[in-house]
Amino acid sequence: MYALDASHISKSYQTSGETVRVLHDINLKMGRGEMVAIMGPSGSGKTTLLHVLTGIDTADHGQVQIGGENLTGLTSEETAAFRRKHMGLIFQDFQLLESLTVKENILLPLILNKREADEQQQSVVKIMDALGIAGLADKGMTELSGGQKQRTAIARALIHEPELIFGDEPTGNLDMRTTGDVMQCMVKMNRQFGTAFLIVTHDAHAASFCSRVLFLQNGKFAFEAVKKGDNKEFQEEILNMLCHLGGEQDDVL
Amino acid sequence: MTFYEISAKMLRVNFNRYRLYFFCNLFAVSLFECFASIFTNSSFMDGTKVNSLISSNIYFPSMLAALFLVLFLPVSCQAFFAARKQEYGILFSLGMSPKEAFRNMMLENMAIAGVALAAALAAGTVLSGFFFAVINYGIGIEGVQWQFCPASYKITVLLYLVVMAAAFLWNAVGTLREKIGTLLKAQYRCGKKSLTERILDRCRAGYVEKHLAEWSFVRRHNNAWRIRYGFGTIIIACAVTLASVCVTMYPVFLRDAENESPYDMAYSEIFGMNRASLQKVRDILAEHGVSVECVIQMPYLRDAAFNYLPVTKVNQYFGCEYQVEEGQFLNLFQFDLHDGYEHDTQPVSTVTIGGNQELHSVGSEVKILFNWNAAFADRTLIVSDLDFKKMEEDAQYVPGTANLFAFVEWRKSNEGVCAVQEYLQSRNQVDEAQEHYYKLSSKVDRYLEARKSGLFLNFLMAFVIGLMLMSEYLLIHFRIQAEQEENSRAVNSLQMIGMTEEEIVKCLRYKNRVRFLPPVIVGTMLAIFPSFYYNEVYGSGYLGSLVGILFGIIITIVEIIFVKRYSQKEFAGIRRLL
Repeated sequence: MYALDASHISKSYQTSGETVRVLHDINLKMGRGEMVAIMGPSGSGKTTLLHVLTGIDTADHGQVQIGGENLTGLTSEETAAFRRKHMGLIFQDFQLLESLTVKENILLPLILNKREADEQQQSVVKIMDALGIAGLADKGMTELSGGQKQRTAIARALIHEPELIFGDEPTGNLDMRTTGDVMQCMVKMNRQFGTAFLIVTHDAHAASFCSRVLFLQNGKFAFEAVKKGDNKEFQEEILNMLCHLGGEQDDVL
Repeated sequence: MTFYEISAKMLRVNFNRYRLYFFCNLFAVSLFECFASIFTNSSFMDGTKVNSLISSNIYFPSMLAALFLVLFLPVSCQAFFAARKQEYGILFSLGMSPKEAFRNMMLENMAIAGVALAAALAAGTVLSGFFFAVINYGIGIEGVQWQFCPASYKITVLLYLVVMAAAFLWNAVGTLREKIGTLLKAQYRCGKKSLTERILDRCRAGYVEKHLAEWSFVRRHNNAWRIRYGFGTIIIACAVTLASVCVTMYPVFLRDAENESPYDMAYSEIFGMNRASLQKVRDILAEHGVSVECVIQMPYLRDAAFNYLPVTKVNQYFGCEYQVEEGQFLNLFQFDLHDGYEHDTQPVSTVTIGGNQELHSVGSEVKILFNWNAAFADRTLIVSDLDFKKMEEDAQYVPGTANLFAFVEWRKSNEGVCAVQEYLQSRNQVDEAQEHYYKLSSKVDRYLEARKSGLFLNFLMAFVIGLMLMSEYLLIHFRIQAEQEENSRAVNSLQMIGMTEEEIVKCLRYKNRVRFLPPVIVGTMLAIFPSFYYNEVYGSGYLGSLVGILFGIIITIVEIIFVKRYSQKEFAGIRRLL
């Protein structure tokens, strides 16, 4: 069984009377515990694909299965219930609740899942330790650096032990060093908990931490790169592929 | 930790962001409660205690206060929901279901609404106490006092709950229908070029480009601003119209009081009441320094529907030249058709006297010949002397005498008139309810009542105009507050490209002028016509329009000064966010 199995996904938008096809017949399979990155130039449909896969948006055609459960055709209540149990989301701009502390933000998925207080406590301590943010438990969001915020967001995405975590430019707001730290955390969690990660990124350095990179162009997967050597070699391979793909300089660097 | 604990904490921590919603609820409800406590006050609405000319003034402002509540609460509720969109976007992305979200929104709104309602009822009670103090001591209306009126609280709570429930459902369903991605990016949305911008582009090429930094603040959320501009314009147009009406109303009230009382004192000897010798009345008046210039004793007959006057006496006493032959009558309507009220001037065509003799109408006359008095029937007919004589012999018509006094100086006659009233009352020996029908009427009393009524109306109107201007301000302020985070990012970007604080404050001032001034200018222009129309009813159309324009200019100047300070304050707030 796949962690993610998306088949024949198509999506189009209406803009000023014109129909813009963003995704064309996309097929994507991810094994359990796999780490996959999706890259591509701006406007290639990366975020739209992620929104469709997470149920934030709906596809015009095709179906999405996560852990064998078909998301297509679920009601909004069922989608929400599925998301809270089986998915985690990490955003570029963190999307943390500023009125809550680090610990409270991390606890939210467990609270929504109505877990007991003891279990909440054990899980939050475990995940904060694992991500190296144990000392920040009672800090407010304004007191954190970008890297600390993203670790908090990763902890929140992981705490309820979902099968799959989606990251929308999870290192987009971070410098290179912090990007490395945050990706290292994801790899650690991937190995420790066996959680699958699917991240959308512009950053070849961040993508090089994944085992497979898919390149999206004009709403279709154009290439695929599979990691064979170390991160550095893989990053070079990714950059080469991006150069073949074209796009703006920003999309490559 | 449960979700409700988290939710309560979010609400508590973010209270500063929602306080405007709370205060808006408090403000609108307390005002309505204040008016409700007046129109449900039995002593104020009792015609024997307070002249209905005064008490009827309460209905219009009460309707405006209700309208204000109905329009304003949904707008503030919308602002509250807009401020929470991103939080709900995050919670939805974590798996919160629409049902849970709806329940949570309901609890939050109930918490805020409950506290606001309790505070508003208390504030409204205090405010109504202040109102009654003004009515008693400021305007001089006696015999009314503040009462605990459960009905006022019931009406207020009911209206509030209905409006809040509708506003809540509308906004909650709207939020639930939005896509998670849209909610998460609620704060990053940017508008396209507005119609104004496109017009400016056409009329003055390069203008918008020259002020691009300023327009970067203005070009946002066009739809939300369009609604606010529309509401703001209507509010200002109403406020300007009311100001113009209320300035011209006061002198009109006084003028009407004088016009409706051609004689300075009038009472009717009828049904055996008010029997006093003229000399005695003159003596009482003289004792109080009132000199009588002349007295007319006008005989009349009345039945349940009409007063009947003999034509010769009418012509003799009031300088008229009416021609009424035997078998005829003239309908007399003692109204001023320019007093702003609707009057029934439908003439009667035939009346029967003595059981079988029909009198026919020779027409009608609209003229005030003598003062209105409670002892008179509603309608008056002038008949021939012969018919009057026949009617005098018929027991079904009650004979009476209208005693009409003219003083040398009526403005100083209040004490004398009161003394005469007391004397007549002591002789009549009837209970208070009956006494009302025989009470004398006087120009000075009518004038003082009109003055009170005018003052009360002006006080109410000033209150309502203040309320409208405040609501217009809050309507715009709310939206600016909701955009503060967005503006802070814009300010940050502009500072990064080298703009000085002074230049940024200038941009904010430009933006705030665009936000505050169009409703004032357009509203004033729109108000010119209704100001003319409503005042023309009282014969002061041009004056009304002029007053409206002046009032609009004053608000514009005040807002220009206000915007300067407001922009500096806004910048200080943004700087704290950066």
